[in-house]
Amino acid sequence: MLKVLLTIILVAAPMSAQPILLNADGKPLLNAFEGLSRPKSYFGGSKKDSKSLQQSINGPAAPKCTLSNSSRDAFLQELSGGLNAKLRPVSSCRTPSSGCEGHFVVLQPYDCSAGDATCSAAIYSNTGSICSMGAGQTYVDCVSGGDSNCCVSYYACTNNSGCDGGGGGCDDDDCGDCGGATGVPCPPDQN
Amino acid sequence: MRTHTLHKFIPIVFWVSVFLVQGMAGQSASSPERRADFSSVLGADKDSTHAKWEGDYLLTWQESGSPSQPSAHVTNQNGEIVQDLIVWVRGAVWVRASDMTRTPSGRVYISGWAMNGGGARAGFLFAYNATGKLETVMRTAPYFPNNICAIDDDSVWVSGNGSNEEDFGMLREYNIPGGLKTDLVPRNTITTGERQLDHAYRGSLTCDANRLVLYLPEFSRVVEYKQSGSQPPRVYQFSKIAQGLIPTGFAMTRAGKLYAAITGQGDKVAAAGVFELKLNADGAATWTPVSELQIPKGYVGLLGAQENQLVYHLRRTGSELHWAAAGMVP
Repeated sequence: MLKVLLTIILVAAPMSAQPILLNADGKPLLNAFEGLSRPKSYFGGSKKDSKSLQQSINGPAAPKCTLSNSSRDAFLQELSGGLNAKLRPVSSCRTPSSGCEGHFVVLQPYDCSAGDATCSAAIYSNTGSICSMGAGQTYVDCVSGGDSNCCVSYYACTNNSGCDGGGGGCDDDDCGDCGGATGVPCPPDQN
Repeated sequence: MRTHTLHKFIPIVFWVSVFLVQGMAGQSASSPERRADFSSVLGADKDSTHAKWEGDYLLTWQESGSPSQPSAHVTNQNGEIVQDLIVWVRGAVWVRASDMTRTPSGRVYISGWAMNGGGARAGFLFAYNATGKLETVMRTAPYFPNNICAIDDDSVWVSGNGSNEEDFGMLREYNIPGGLKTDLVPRNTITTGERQLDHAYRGSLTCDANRLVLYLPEFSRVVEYKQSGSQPPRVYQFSKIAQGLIPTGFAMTRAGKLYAAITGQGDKVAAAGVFELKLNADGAATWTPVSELQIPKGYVGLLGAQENQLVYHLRRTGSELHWAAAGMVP
């Protein structure tokens, strides 16, 4: 009897430590994700391997060029002006479409010849202001010569959560662990 | 040779449109009256930490939650951590925290979302008691909460998005544990046509027992909802924040005054500062500089207000916070 009681206590104790899980209507849920499934719209509606995901993100103009360090430095010097800029690898990012906040600057080189006759580059902010140096504006910026006609996109974020949305940016969700090589799904309805 | 033309796109009159100095006479502010170190939760080694000040406490949270390690903290004004919070939901492989709030009695709410191993994602509200124990997790699917604010009658307000594009930009009221109470504004009212109110958006939602204020710098809007009346929330529009300037925080003092911080870098340092946002009867919101705050390097992060003092920091990755009484003279 004592053994049974002890078992009940031992089993019940950790269970009671769990938080109550509720649905938005206030009714209990047994499982946090019950009734939910992977969004069909995610990356075109089907599960893809990481290579396909990478292509989905980058599109046909996936980065091919490599920006030289000198060009990077020049861009950063011109852009940062005290932005506390630091580079992040963005090989899995696609072209940004909405904003970020302005802490670190990311340069995303991509190949001008792959459909971007005049390459545009922009930096974005969550106000549509600072990063872009013109809200939503783009400017032509082709890097020729030693940089093999690279175009450059800029991202400037205050922190690594501010620049995500709409398909690009500084957030890990896009640039690191979202989609791309890792295949980790992106934030809600962002990509 | 590259043909970099960035400079062409830096408008010459960038801040004039926003910072028309209005009504500076009569404003008062002071140099920092107090400063304190919060290196236990802030600092260069905690670069990814989000922070805000509510009541007498600093709230900090990491974007990524963990099932075993506290990723959010409540710290008192002496720099002592008083609550360690686990942000996690069973069944998840990935949990992200978007915002955090604390009621006067010590209850804490965190908004966020999570994903399971099958790729299913859902928004969640995490509710903690005053000891920091996670008591309730409420799933908000198909709604993804972003900014959050709560008071002690179990009311929790959340701005965020629905799953569909037409559902972007929503302000909802929940009761925990009761559930969703209402949508406070018609869908897309806040963000009409400009951009999706998406994960990139970083607004601020502040509240007390009388009023709820949502600050949306990206959309140049402030949404105010007075809980005592029967009026629907009202949307105020302000001039677009000038190019080259970044909104870096928002605060509502106990007296109900609203303040917003603007950071400017490079040649825009002079335009940086803290501004009072006044909501006018005609539906416009106007900016008035708090001129006496010293912003030496153009950066000011406004974390919130303690009573009628603004709480801010001057280094993005610094651990020192400053307090200053601003706008005390009406």
